[in-house]
Amino acid sequence: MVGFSKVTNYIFDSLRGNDPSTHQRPPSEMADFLSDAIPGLKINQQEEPGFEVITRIDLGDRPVVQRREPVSLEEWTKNIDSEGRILNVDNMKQMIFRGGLSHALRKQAWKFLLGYFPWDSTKEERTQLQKQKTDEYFRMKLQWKSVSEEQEKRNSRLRDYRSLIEKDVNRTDRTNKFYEGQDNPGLILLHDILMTYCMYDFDLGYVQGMSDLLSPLLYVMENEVDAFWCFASYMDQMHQNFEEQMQGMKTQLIQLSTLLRLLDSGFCSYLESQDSGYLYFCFRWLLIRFKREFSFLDILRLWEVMWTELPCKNFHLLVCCAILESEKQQIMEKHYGFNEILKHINELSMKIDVEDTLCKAEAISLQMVKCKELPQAVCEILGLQDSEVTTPDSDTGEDENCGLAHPTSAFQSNTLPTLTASGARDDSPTQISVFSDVSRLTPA
Amino acid sequence: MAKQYDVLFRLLLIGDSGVGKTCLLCRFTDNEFHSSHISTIGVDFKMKTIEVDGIKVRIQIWDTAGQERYQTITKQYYRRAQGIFLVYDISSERSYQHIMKWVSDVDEYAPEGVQKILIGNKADEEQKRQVGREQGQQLAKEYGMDFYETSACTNLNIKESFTRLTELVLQAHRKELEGLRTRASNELALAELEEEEGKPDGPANSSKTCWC
Repeated sequence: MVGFSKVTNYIFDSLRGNDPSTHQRPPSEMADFLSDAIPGLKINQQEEPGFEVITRIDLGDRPVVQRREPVSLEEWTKNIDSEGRILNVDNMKQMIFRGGLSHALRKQAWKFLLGYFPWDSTKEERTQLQKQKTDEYFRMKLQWKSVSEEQEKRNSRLRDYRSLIEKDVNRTDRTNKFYEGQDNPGLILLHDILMTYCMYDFDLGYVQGMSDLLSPLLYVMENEVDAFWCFASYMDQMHQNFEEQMQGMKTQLIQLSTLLRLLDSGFCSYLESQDSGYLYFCFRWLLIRFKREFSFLDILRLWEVMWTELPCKNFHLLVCCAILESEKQQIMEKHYGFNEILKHINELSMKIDVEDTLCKAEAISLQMVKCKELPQAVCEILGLQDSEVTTPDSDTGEDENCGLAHPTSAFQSNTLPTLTASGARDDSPTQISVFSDVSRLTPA
Repeated sequence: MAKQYDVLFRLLLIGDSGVGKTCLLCRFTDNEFHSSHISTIGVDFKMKTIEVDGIKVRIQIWDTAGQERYQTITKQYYRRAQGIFLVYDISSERSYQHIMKWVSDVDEYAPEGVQKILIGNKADEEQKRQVGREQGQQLAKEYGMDFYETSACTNLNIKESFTRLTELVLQAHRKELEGLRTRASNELALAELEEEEGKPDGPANSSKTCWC
């Protein structure tokens, strides 16, 4: 069985007409490179025996997906009870996922989507909550405001945070009317919220990229306290991206690679042959959730759709797959190398259509949800293993994993490679291997 | 079709966040300056072809994020560089002091024989100056580097410093380049040669495509 964990040859899909003699970078090398690039990353095959060998999976037809109009103020209001609780939350999230929100609604709805307000809270409770959160905010703000110059001289971390924040506030969305011009009050708010966040989470402090995440929130909230708490909630999701070891980035790059391999192993092999298999060119996309890739207004749409947490976990990775799929042809036909791939992807900024991308990403998710033989690693990433996906008949006894109450732990303790039924019997050269140990890289 | 360039070099810009790395690059490649540029996330690069000593040199300049947190990523690009700009801001003592740390990173991660040059940027901000010109010269001397005070804002010493580093790289690779001028058909690209090491079947001309 050990041999299965050492499957290193990816073979170009012959149907795609690629030359199989083209040099390919085996996953072992890719793992080495990635762990080289990101110390602490554990994807060494010797240490991690949990490889899953699967035959190329037919994902079936991709359904056509339609998007709807943004949720209107009327639709929203209709779903609020007399005390201000939001009704039919699941349905509301569905509608937001399908069409986003009309702009007038964002200031209200984002607070729920981000988890600042509980969906089932009454208006009264929210007023109380806001009062309490306002006090809490200003207490933290006073903490850094009251540090004297002398004190700050002896506090290098605070000094460094402040200096970085000052630099970044001056170069965050300055072409947007809300932040343009000298002495724009929006800049002071950005600054104060980021400084206060340092007091809220001094260990993390300020890391570049965070001002990009805050700017749209402040733009929509138009209120310092609300923007802060929405930002704090958003940072709960994004925290790992900015930590010292960048665990969030490592995990996501590996997960993305797993998904991409299932969708298009030919493209993956191509990227590997160009020393780009570790997908580092997606770094900016993932770090700040596409903030630099779309126009400001499109980002508002994209983020609110992603905050619904529909239709599956890690939908943003399927958004990556959707964009990459659109660029694949050009990258491969023009035979882009390491440099050109990075340049091409960086230059997609502001040229990607958000609605098309969302349609495509959702269609991919539907395809995967429907697929009966989705690799375990992919189920894990998309959070599908409980009910949606069941493994077909199998004589390897591995399919029980799918029905376990705690599949993650069962999965983690699995020291043998998982084989799908057909994979075990089929020696076809189109075998692909999938990292099945992704969950290990995600701290509980 | 006429040959677009004779040789390809990779240069790298490093230094603290906000010292003006991206601005130096934009001034050099596009002759543009925006005082409120966006911060760099990850890495980016631009290209420009210049002629030095009758050789058409295509330079690929890699621009990196300055914050320490991202250095695990940006360090990966050091090994691909033949020349490195170490940039500080003359109005920031701290960015000057950090040059030491940047130099030791270069020693650790960049290939041997990499050419380095020290840049004190924002020379137009005389009233905010915290680092004297002679301090810059002194440090450069210690490390055996050339030194320029530059201003992306007023376009001071931009072309000069980029050309100088390119010359230094050319000199360092003189041997490999000797045959170049005599053999017009030889499209030697050092950067490519290095990249192809260890993957002999790799695509031969991929990085020669011109996308600018």
